[in-house]
Amino acid sequence: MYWNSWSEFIAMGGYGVYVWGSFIACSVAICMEGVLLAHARRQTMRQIARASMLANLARSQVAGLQVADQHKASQQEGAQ
Amino acid sequence: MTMDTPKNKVNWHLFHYAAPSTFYPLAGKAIPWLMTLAVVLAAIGLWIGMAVAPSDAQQGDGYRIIYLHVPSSWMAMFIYIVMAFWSVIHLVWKTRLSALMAQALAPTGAWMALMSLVTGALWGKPMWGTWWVWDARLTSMLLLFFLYLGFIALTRSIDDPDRSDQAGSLLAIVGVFNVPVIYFSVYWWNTLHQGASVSSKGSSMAGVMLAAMLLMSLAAWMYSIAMTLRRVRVLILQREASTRWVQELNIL
Amino acid sequence: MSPRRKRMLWVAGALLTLALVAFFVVNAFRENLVFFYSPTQIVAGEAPEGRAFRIGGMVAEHSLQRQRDGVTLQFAVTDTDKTIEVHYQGLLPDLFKEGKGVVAQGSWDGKVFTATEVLAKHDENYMPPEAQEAVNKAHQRAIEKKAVQ
Repeated sequence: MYWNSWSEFIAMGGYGVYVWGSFIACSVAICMEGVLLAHARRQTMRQIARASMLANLARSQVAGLQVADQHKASQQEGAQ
Repeated sequence: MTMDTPKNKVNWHLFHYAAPSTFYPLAGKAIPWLMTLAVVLAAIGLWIGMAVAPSDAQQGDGYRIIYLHVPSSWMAMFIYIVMAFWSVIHLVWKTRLSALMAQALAPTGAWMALMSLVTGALWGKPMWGTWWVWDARLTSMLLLFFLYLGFIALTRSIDDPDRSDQAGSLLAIVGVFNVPVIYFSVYWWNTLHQGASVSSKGSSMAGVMLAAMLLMSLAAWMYSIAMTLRRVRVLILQREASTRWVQELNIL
Repeated sequence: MSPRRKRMLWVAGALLTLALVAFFVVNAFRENLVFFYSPTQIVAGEAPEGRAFRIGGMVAEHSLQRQRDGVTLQFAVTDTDKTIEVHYQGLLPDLFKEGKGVVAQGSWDGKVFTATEVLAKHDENYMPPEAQEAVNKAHQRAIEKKAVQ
């Protein structure tokens, strides 16, 4: 261990402002990158969820129409 | 007689992994490991660099900024080279994933370049006596930062995916010539910035300091790979939003 | 204006700004390719005349002194071949030392270089003070050995 005390460590031989300033700057950058990425991911997920809901709705509507068509056809068959 | 066991039916071709639907879960599994590795390496590197390593004969304890400055600078330059590599692959083989890889790398590269510039300014003020000078090294590094921003703006501004990928790839390849200029600027021209401490000829640093710096660089590598994979997963989802496999991911 | 059109305008503006910034950065790069001139170059008349430029070299040993007015510092910059006298009023950076690298911005009247800014240029070696001392001692021994021969 190079340091004798905490205050010595914080002071960094008089360069504390610059050394710890660098550490703060890098921490902020890393946090910002993470936050921006998480935000983009959440937004994308929401879009996909909406899109798949719409797709399911459309599919069920198509299926519903098909059922209705079959129903109609069988009724017509029965009438003949 | 046939040799068609189920295993042989699986496509073990390399391009198998280039399919976004295969790559997506694979990348997802690797990310936690890479991040853990990055944290462990950084913790050891910082312990050695900040607590064990002695001060420098010239710069006292101010030199310790090196443990942030050099890894971020190396990463900023290297990421651009990797970006250009994926861009070449994309233009030659038209693989979708390689263009997305380039686009996923760019923001991390830009953050690294920014960290390099900011820590450099904080180091230059006490040692050189100035935050900034327009010497060849600093100016070419600033240009790298703007190349990253330009790449991001360009690829995001074009709505058509094919054209966006193509334009981005071209910019990445054109800009890669700046990287050797950054690296060799301190030898080609008179600069305020000193030469490289670590090169093919060896290192001009004490062993403990070098060990800490290399550990921090490895941590930066792991972090960058993890962030790139996280970002490429989002890009894959955006591109493939309407496909069946994405809709079956159970995102809700 | 449709949102799409608005977005396109934003993007065009951003790209234009970036292009402009890149242009200025490249310009700055070209202008500062010769960041400083060595004393030999300056004596040979290679430095630009009539405008400020930078001088770079080593601070000559035992050359740093304060002039009689109490504010002006005086030191010599050398590249071991030619030496130029520099006058400067202001603060010196931490790493400014005799025998170490220096870059100063200012103007030359053919005799004295009057600096407006003095920057320290350090080397790429990083070692603990004890190691530096050992290197210095070894260097000293080598010089003494040479003197004896």
